[in-house]
Amino acid sequence: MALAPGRIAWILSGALLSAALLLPLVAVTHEAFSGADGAWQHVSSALLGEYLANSLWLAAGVAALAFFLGAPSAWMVTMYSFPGRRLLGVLLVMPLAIPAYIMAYVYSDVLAVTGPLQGLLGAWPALPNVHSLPGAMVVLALALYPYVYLMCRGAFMDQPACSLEAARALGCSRWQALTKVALPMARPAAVAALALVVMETLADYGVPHYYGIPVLTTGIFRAWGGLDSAAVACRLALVLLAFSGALMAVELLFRRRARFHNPTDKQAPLPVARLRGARAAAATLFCGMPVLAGFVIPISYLLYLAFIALGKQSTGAFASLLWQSFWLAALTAVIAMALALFLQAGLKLHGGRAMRVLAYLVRFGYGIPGTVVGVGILVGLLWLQQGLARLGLDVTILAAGGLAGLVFAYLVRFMIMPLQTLESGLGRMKPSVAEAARGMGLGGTGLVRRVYLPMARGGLLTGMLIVFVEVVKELPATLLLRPFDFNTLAVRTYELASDERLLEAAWPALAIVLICLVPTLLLLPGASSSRDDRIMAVPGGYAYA
Amino acid sequence: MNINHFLALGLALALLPLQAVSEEVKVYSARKESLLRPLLDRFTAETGITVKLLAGRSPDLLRRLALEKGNPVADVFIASDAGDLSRAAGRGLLRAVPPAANVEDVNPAYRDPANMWIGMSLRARTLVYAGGRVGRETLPGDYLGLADSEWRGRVCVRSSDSPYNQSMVAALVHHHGAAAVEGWIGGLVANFARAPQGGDRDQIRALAAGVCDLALVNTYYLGIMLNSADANDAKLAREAVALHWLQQGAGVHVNISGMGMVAGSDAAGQVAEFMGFMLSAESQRWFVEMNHEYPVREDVALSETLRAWGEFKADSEAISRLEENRSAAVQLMDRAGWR
Repeated sequence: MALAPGRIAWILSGALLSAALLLPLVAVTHEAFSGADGAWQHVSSALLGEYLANSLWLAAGVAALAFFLGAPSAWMVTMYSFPGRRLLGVLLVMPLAIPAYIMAYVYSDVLAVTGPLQGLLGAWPALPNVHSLPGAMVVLALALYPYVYLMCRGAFMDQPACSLEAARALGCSRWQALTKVALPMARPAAVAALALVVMETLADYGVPHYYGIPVLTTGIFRAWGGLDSAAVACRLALVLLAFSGALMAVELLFRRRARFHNPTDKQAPLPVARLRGARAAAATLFCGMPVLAGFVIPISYLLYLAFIALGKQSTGAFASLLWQSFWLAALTAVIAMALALFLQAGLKLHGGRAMRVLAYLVRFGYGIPGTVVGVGILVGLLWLQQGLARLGLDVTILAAGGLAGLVFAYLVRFMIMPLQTLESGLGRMKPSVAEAARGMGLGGTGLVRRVYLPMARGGLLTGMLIVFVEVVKELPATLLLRPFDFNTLAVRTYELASDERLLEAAWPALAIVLICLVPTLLLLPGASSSRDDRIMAVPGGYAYA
Repeated sequence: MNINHFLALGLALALLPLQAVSEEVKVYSARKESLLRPLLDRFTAETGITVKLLAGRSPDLLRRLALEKGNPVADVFIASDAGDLSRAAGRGLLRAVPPAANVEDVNPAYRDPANMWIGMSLRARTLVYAGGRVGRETLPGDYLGLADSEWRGRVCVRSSDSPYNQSMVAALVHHHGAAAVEGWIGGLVANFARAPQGGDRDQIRALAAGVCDLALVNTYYLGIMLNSADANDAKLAREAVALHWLQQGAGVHVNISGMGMVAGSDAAGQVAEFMGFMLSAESQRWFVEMNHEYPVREDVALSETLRAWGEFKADSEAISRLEENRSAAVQLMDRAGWR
């Protein structure tokens, strides 16, 4: 096949873009193998085993708990009617708006030996100590179970009613229909969700740091600061990356399988059974529990603190934090989506195995903790700077670029999201659609504009919303790469809370939650009016796709 | 006068105010923004010099400084640990502190012997204890005494991730040597009442709640709690907690928050004004009143809270030796199981 100019342009620009996004990864790898001297010896002999064990236990515990909280509630809300079902169906997703580190601070405060709850209870009984491995598991599970809930719910809603009816007609009980038909069909979604939960847990720094559990991420920062060894920090990051790489492979495998689970386009409404009496109460209780612990309690406590702190906050400074967080997240979301569209469209139009691999590798940025991405970018920029200096251009790129370095870091970390949501939209399109369009004379940009874009519309919105939420919550890369006099809500919350000033941190923390609530609600299956959007918003895909 | 002259004149006039406005000093600070910003605002109001601030974590900021070494962006580096300042100086990221007002009033113990950095405020890390359960006369006189077996299961302290603990152990390594300190850490860990967790205030709260009898904390956290708007915190700090100086031997472990001038910065004039301002009696007084830290000048009056704790012998000798012992300290804590 001769190379058309369009194809060459695509290959060049696509490769350049992917290479740029992979640069931090390369820089981290390079840094990892440049002079770790005795520090690595020390870490690998004295600490690595403990880091690994704690990280894996934490991940396993969080995955199990998140599944327990997310999957059954998704099933109940989809298949049964009980008091509060509609409201709980929405509320169950809300903890997604609360960053795990804020949840950690809140529970530490609420359950402290000198906290409000113990004060009410008196000397007995003693409250559980959240500063422990089980405590961290619970807090992270409360923050992350909505992924399982969302994706399982999407899978359950997407299941063809006819297969359930067929199972019932063949003599299965409701329970058997669940275990023999619905669960196997939802398995890809559940596994993909759990892979995400595990990745998020492994990459989390705030919760294990505050709760005093030595894991890979806390080890990275300890090596970076205490041991003053960037090489050791980067090596630990590579270990972490190996895990997330494996998880992404698992997720991909299951997503491929999910494609075979759509026997029909016909959507009969699912039969909903009404629960009564004790069973109805049990369902309400079960679905209410994660909502209470993951949303109502943290929000109430933050509101209470914010009320006490009322008037101590300078409103001008607060408004500027709000505005900076908002526009930075919005800008990043738009850029991320534009780049994802470009990559996906190029793949659809021009294909290419090498490009497919590159576009896949780009997602690995998600598995690297923000601090390490930041370091990778700093090192990468240093290389670039040295290169430019050789050409006679003497500039400090990071400083000259203002926020560009930071937005770039967000893209490295979060490109996976728009790529996945677009893919899940386009992945559902039968190849025959594109063939028909080509047959009618559409090609190139026309094909993209008139066929692919409309097909991917839901994924477009979802992808941008997710990037938006993630950027608002992001902390470590923001701390490292932001320019002078630029703060976000997450930075301010961290600064105050890490200095044990939760009271003053209440307002910015609350603002993060409120900003993230709207997009979170839009992610809910059935939240948007168009059926297309709903389909794109959840099923079978990865993160939220 | 032709049109070009007019243009040139207009341009010059337009640039004049710009020149005045562009008088600024750019600060990288590992000290929290909220513990700095009010002072910076006052500085700008008094001098007309604007301050651009980037507050972050010290390893991050050190990395940025190293990256920008050829074309420095910041003028001042503020750290909350003398070790970080030594580290910056050791990498050639700082230049000598410019001659500034008030510098001579600073206690020489809190200035770098090589004049690459200067202290801004002083923090002491010592013992608090449950006054109701522990007799003052039974308390250890120095840090080493905390490893005695009579304190088995009675000590609270935060994680060794904390730079406060890393620097404290680095100071001990400086005085007693690595082997002795490793044994000491082992004894201390055996005396822990619980796995290290939370921050310094959490240790004080745990002490008040009876989880432990002794805790190692930075004194200003107790000061903040004593003066807290949170009535519960203030009450327990006042009633259940007492302070004890571990001043025998080398003295109480102290550290500074301090500042250095970034190598290659050409704003020596502004930096000198900035440093002079931070060392002025008024600014020193602000650190004392607002955050209950100690001043680096002897001639600044203490607050009521600080006066109530009494005088103490500070281990000022180790301050400039923290950096060289820190990595060893971290490794010792790792090996001896201080998590």
